[in-house]
Amino acid sequence: MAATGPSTSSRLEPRPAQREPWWLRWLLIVAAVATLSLLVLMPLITVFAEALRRGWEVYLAALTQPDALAALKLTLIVAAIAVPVNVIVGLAAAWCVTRFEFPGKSLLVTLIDLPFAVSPVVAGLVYVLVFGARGWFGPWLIEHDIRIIFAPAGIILATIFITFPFVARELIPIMQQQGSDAELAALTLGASGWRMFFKVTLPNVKWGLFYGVVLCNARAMGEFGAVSVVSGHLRGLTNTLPLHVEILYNEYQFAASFAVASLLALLALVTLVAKTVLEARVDSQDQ
Amino acid sequence: MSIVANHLCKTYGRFTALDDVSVSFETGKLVALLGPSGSGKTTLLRILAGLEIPDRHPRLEIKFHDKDVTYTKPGERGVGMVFQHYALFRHMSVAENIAFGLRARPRATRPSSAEIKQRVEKLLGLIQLETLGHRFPHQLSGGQRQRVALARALAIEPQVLLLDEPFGALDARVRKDLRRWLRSFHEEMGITTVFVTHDQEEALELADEIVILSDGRIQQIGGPQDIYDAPSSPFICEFLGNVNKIENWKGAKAPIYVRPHEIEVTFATEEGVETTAFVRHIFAAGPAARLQLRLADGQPIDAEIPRAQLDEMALGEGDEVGLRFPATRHFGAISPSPSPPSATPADAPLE
Repeated sequence: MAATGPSTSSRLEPRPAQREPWWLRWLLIVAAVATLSLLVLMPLITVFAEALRRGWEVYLAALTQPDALAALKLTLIVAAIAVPVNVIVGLAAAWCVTRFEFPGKSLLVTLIDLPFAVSPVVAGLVYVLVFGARGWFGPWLIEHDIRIIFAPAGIILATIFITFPFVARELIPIMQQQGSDAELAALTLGASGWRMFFKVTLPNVKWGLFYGVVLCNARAMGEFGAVSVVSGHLRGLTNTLPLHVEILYNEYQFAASFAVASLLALLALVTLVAKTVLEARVDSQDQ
Repeated sequence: MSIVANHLCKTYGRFTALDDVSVSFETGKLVALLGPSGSGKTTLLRILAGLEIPDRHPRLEIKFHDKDVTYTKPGERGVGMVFQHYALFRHMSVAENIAFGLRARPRATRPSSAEIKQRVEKLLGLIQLETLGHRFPHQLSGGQRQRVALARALAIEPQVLLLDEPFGALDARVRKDLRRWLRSFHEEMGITTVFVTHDQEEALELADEIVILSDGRIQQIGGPQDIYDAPSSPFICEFLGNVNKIENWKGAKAPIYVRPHEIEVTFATEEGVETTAFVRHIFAAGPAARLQLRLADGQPIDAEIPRAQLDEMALGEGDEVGLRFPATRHFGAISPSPSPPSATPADAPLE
């Protein structure tokens, strides 16, 4: 419940037994910083440097090109559908898992993790097998003139699948730890189910939920593998930002490619900042 | 509001939490449900609150003052529930917590916001936290939180108050204060109150009536003194207060039970001594001195004597003393099943 003083102060001041000699400490710090710079920081800087190498005008031109705008629009639409769907389904799944005992519960928990375990390309292929022209539902879909594969619908489906775990995984431990007493208290005080949900359950998990949404959104906008399989790369129609980056790069339009990539990199930075802020909130909420 | 609950059964998978339990409590009573963990006491409380639905039984019924509430939703039973870990709404201030039940009412019966404010203030006064209405639960101490939880439950003017281990998470001093406060509070309000506890001292001190549960069954029901003086089974005898269990007493098959303060300690040479024992340790810090003794056959036994007697006898560790048991209990066969309290215990000296 309440944070206790001693534990935080002891975390800041390592006890003598845990103190390493100065040279070892510096060696480890330098090694860690060097690795991070080489693998993470340098590529990030390269993206922006390459994008702006031929100046602002080329940069802006690459971003305002119709195909790039179409890709941006599709990416935003996909995220705008996939994220809310996963918020609702993720809340429902977390609720099920943490509030009820039922046979097959551990199977459900495993299934929630499946998108993390499966290669995104395989996930995409599964959708092609199911909804593609020669797939299970293919003939029926063609008959009714419904396009899923090589169409935005397929991209949205694949994205929902890939990003499903983020919200549920974030909520399950929080809801498990908080228990259901507050909700039961609300019920004994005469609250309806909806009132309990909106006044007690949701405020109790809101920072964890935001955190899940931020991660889910980042992945929804950045997903490449599964989307690549189901998209068909139709320019201006079924291209998302990551796919557009690849196309431009393969056509040797490096500056344009990096310009579009810089948008995704910016999204990553915003996500990181939001994540850091939210993590602190989630921690304080747990106490 | 009187409570009648008949034939409550509850199983979780293969675990039987309640095995055909029936209770009835009169209006205004303060009742303790006492038992070790896993005895079914919390399940019983949650069934009364409507948070658990009992298993089917042909004669199952739960009545609050003659009104059948067996399948009534928790919010419509008129019960106030207080949880062990407070279960306060952490994102709401103390005042908002207390007002929750009133605000949750349907528009037709909901008091105006001015009225709600007034009611909240009155309740804050009742729990002696007048100035802390704007604080959040995490800014309060454990005892304060528990009182807020109580005020929140009282705000809906319940006919029945249900408390699940209300003092379980508090430290000893606060627990004692709060216990006293709850007792006087109950005398003032007269709401039928049922609380769950595993602490026999708490039950004995606080309750008008104690229901002892074990393994999902009722072992004994009665006033604190009745149960303490005339436990109906070895289980209750050992569970309530300290008691020595002596095997093979004068060749008897069943063990005898004697409470430490009921043992008379004399010099070993005195007349009428029933047995002798050696002093192993003396704990003299407190109003009475506690002696850890060992009988001739090696069985440990605890005795309590006044400090004055200890000083007068000038006892030390290793001394031999004589013992007399003017009051012992013995239970014929090993019978953990409940039986009428008057039938089994024999409060006469053993010869």
